[in-house]
Amino acid sequence: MVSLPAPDSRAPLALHRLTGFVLGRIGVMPALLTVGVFVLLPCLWLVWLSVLDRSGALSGENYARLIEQASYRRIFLITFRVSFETVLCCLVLGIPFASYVAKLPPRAFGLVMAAVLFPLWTSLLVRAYAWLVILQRNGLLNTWLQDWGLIDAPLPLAFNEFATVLGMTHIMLPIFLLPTISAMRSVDGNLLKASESMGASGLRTYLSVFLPLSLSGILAGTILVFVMSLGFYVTPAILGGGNVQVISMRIARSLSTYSNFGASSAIGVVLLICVFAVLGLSLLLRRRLSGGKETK
Amino acid sequence: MKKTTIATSLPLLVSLGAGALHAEGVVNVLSPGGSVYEGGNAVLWGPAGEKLGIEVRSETADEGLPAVRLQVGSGSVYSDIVFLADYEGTLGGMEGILEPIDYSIVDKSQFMPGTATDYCVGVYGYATVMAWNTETYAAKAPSSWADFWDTEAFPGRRALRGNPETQIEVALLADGVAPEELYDVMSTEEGLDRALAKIFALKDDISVWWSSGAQHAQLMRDGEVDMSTGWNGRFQSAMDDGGPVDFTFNQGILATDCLGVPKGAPNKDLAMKLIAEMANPESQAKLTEYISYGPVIPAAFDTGLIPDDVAKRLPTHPDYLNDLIVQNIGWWVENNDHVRELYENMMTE
Repeated sequence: MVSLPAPDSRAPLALHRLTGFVLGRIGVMPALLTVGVFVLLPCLWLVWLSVLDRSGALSGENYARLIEQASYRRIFLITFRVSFETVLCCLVLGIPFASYVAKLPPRAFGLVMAAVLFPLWTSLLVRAYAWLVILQRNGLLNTWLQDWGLIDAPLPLAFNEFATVLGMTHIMLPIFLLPTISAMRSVDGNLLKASESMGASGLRTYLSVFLPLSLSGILAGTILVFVMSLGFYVTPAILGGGNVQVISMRIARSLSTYSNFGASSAIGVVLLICVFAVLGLSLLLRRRLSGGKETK
Repeated sequence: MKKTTIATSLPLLVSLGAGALHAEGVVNVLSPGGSVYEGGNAVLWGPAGEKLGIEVRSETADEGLPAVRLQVGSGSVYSDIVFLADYEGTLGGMEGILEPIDYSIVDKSQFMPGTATDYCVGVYGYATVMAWNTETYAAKAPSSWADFWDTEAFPGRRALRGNPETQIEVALLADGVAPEELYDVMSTEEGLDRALAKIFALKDDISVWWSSGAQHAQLMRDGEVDMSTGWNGRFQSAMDDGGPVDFTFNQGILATDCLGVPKGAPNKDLAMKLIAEMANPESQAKLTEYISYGPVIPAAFDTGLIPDDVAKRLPTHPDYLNDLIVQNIGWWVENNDHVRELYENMMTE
C-alpha cells in the first residue's frame, strides 16, 4: 500500500506516486465521511442511548432487563432458530438448483436468472399476504386437500414457525442463489473433465471437485441469508401470527412500551454484536477452509 | 395534503367571519381528522362555540398526546382543547402536561362513572368484546368469558391480543373474579399470576395473537379463528360485510376517547366553558351520526335522536350498561411496563 521512498534518479516518478497517493486519500474522503456520518455515528449513538435510563442518567437497567426477563432470551433463541432454518431451506433448495442453472447455455441461463430475480421486485408485504391466502385455515391448500379427501380437518399451516420459515425462504432464496450461481459459473470446466477422465463418477466429481470449488459462493450466500434473516420483521409478524416472536418485533414493541429509546437500543446493540460474531465466525471458517493459503 | 388544507381552512374562515361579530374570545381545538373532526365541528365544539360566542378554531393532528408534549415542552402552547384516548388523558395528567378539568363548571354527574376523569372528559366509549363464528357455534353461542375459556363446550381456535391491556381483565373475569373486585385483584402479584396462568392454560387453543383492529376483524371474517377478543366497531363491520360473526357486550371492557386541556393553554377558562357546553346528551346523541361509538352521557339515549337500530349497536346502550366494565385506565398507566414484560414471558414460554 504505502509507497517506499524512491531513489533520487527517479524523482519525477516518486512525485507522481506521491500525488497519486494523496489524491487517492482525498478521493476516498467523501465515502469515508458518508460512512462515518450515516453508519458509524448512528451506531455509536445507539450504544449511548442504550446505557441511559428513563431520566437520562447513565444506567445498565436496559441490559439488566435483557438478562432478567426470560422472554428476551427466548426471543433471541427463536430468531436465531428461524434464521438457521431459513438458511437450511435455502441450502437444500438452492444448491441443487444453482448447480443445474450454472451449467445452462447462455440464453436459457439468462431466462432462468430473470425468473430467479423477478420475485425480488415484488413487495415483501404482498408476498406475506399471498402465503396467508394459500396457507390459512380456509385457504387454497387446505380447501384443496379437503376436497380431494386427503385430510378431514384443516391443517394448521399458517400463523406458526413453519409458515414463517416458508415465507422467509421464499424471500431469501434469490439472495442465496446470486453469489452461489456466480461462484459455480466460474468453476473451471476442465477440472471437472479431468476428474472424470481419471475415473471418478459424476457424483464423486460433483461432491469432491465442483462443490468444494463453489464453496466460497455458497458460504457468502449462507452468511448473507443468515444475517438478513436475523432482522426480519414483516414476514414473521404476518405469517407468525404472534406465535413467532422475533427480535425486530420486540424492538418495535419496546419503543411503544417504554417512553425512552434505551430499551430498544439495548436490544439493537446486542443484535449488532451477534451479527458481528456471526461474521467473525464465518471469516474464521473461510480461512480454515482455504487452508490459510488465501492470506495475502 | 392540499385537500386537508382546504378542509381545515374552510370552517376556520367561516368561524372567523362569524366570530368577528360577537367574539368573546378564541379557543383552538386539536383533534384527529376524519369523522371525529367532522362530527366535532358539526355537533360538539362547533355549536357550543356559537352558543357561547366563542370563536372556535379547529385543527387536526394524528396523535394527541405527542402534540401536547411538544407544545408544553417547547413552551409555546397554542391548543386549548385536545382530543385524546383515555390512556393518554391519564398519562398526560401524570406527566403534568394537562390542566385538571374544572368540574365546578363541567357537570360530572351526567357522565357514566369513570368516563369523566381528572384530566379528560369523555366523548364516546368503545368496548373490548368477545366475538364468535356463527357457523361453528350454530347450535349454542358462547355468552361469557368463561365460555371463551371452555374448550370442551366450545371447541375451536381462539385469538387473543398480543398486548395484555384488556386481556388480563378478561382472563380474570373468565376465572370468576367479580367485576367490582377486578382491579383490586390485578393490583396484587398473585392476581396477575392468576390471570397469566389462565391465559397460559388456553395457549394450545390460541392460534393467533392479534396486534391490530383490522387483523382481528379479518381473522373472524375469514373464519381463521372461531372466537376472538376485539373492539366492537371492528366486529360490527365484519358482520355488516356479511361475515359469519356475532359478538356480545356482556362483560365487555369499556374505554373512552376524551377531551383534555394542555398545561398553560392560552384560553384555558374559555376551553373549560366550551367543554362544559358540549357535555350534554343531545350533542353526544348527534355524534353517533358520525361515529359508531357510544355516548358516555347515558341520557343521550333518552333524547330520541338515536334511531333504535343504531342505538342497539352502541356499547353504552342502557341495555348493556350492567354488562360492561369501565376500564380503570389509571391502573394501566401505572402498571403497563411491568405487566407487558410478564405477558411477553408468558407468550414466549
